[in-house]
Amino acid sequence: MRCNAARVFIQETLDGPLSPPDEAMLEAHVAGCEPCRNYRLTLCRIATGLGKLESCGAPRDFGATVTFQLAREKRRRQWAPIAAAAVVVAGFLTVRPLLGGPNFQLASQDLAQPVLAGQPAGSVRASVGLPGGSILDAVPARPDGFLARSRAEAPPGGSGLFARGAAPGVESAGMAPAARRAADPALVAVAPAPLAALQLEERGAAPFALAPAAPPAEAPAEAESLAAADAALPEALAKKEESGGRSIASLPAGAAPGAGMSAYRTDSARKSRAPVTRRAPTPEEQMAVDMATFEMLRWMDPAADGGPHLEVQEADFTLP
Amino acid sequence: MTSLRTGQRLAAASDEELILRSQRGDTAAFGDLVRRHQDRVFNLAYRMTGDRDVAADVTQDAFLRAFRALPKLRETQRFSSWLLKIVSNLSLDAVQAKSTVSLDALLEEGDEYLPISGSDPEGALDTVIADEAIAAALDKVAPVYRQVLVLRHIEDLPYEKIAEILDLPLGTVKTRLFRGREQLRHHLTEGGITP
Repeated sequence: MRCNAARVFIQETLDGPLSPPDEAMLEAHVAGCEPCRNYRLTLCRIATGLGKLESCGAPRDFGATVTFQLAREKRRRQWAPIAAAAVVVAGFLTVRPLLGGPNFQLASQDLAQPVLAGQPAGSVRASVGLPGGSILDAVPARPDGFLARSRAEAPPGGSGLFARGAAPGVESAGMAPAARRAADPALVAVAPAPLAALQLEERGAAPFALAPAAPPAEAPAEAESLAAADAALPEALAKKEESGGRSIASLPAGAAPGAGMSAYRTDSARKSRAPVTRRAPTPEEQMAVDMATFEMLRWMDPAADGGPHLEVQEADFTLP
Repeated sequence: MTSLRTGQRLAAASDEELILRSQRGDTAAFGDLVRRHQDRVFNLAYRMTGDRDVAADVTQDAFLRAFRALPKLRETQRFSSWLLKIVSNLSLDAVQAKSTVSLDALLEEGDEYLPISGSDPEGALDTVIADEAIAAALDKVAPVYRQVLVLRHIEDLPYEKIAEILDLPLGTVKTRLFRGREQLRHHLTEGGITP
């Protein structure tokens, strides 16, 4: 037997007995080979030394720490759907409905414009139109959450407000690496909610209310409604200057359906002052706008960029 | 009194019973499982990582992952192996994260068997290797070999169990074990502990 083969056998003896023929061969070799004898002794010492290594028990408070983490884990599981809904509710409460009314219709091409592109997380919002023609900016409830519209979730022929949030983060106590986060953006339907008038709060700006948009008895002439909307524009722009934020259009009551769009014209349209044809969007247009909105908002979703996730702590919400 | 009751409760319930109760949402039962296995899991993590704080993190993480994945565990009698598998993998990840050298570079394919000395003039072979020396040498062994060494010699598990825990073929387990012992011998020799 050669030394290489003997060493393999010697290794195997540490884990169990050899067959009698193999053992005999090994013993015969070892008897005449001092290096292999030393090798066997060394390996035996190593195996003994490893086995003798003092067992290191867990730290004294380990059980309590893990139990605490388990309780948090359990709470996280219980709270995740509620927290996602609480984000919705908190966002909804920020945009408080004052009166009920018919379902709103989403405004059309303005939302398809990337007017909110480049906005930092927290100021992203979705614009929604009211039956009276007002265009609203729904403000985010939390720094990384906002009210959005999901094409997939929209009831047929109608619309609704939906919120996007993330499940609360889970931190493992004592973990030196970054805390673990469970980011499950959830689109939660608030309701196919009828909204007629909302009180808005823009971040950093004073809150102001829209008058409830009562359906007009007769649709005023388009030129008149445009003029009325344009008259409101400077005020809205002035509010924008004051607040330093996005402008929020406020329209007088009785504005015709779709008239609100003129108050939210893009800069180029405002500059051109060209008359704009207004009409309610067709279902196909609605679908296209929905998709564009959804994609735009998803593009701006900080979670998608690996940015901060919405941290929802149950203590932060007091549900009505 | 409380600890006596806990002890009695711990002694009374088997792993399977505790697992079934945990799967039904009983976190106290899982807490009992933790207390039952924490020392063993921590020891494995510590011997793998060589750092008590890292071992504590790894152990905690292992139990939390086990808690999350527990509903999917069907073979409750293999809980112990399953738990060791989780902590082995997490320990390896932690070691790899610490190391700036890639894991592959640490796997020395050639020179499996280093030269052995023919003589032992100072009778070094007769002495027992100190714990510190062997622990220090173990820390230098490649992580994937160290993993097997710890499971075999410290956890005293047979090849088949190690293969099951690490999800490796039996031959690979043996190879890694042999190479791990060689590396250990090499580091002890370098340190003058063995000839």
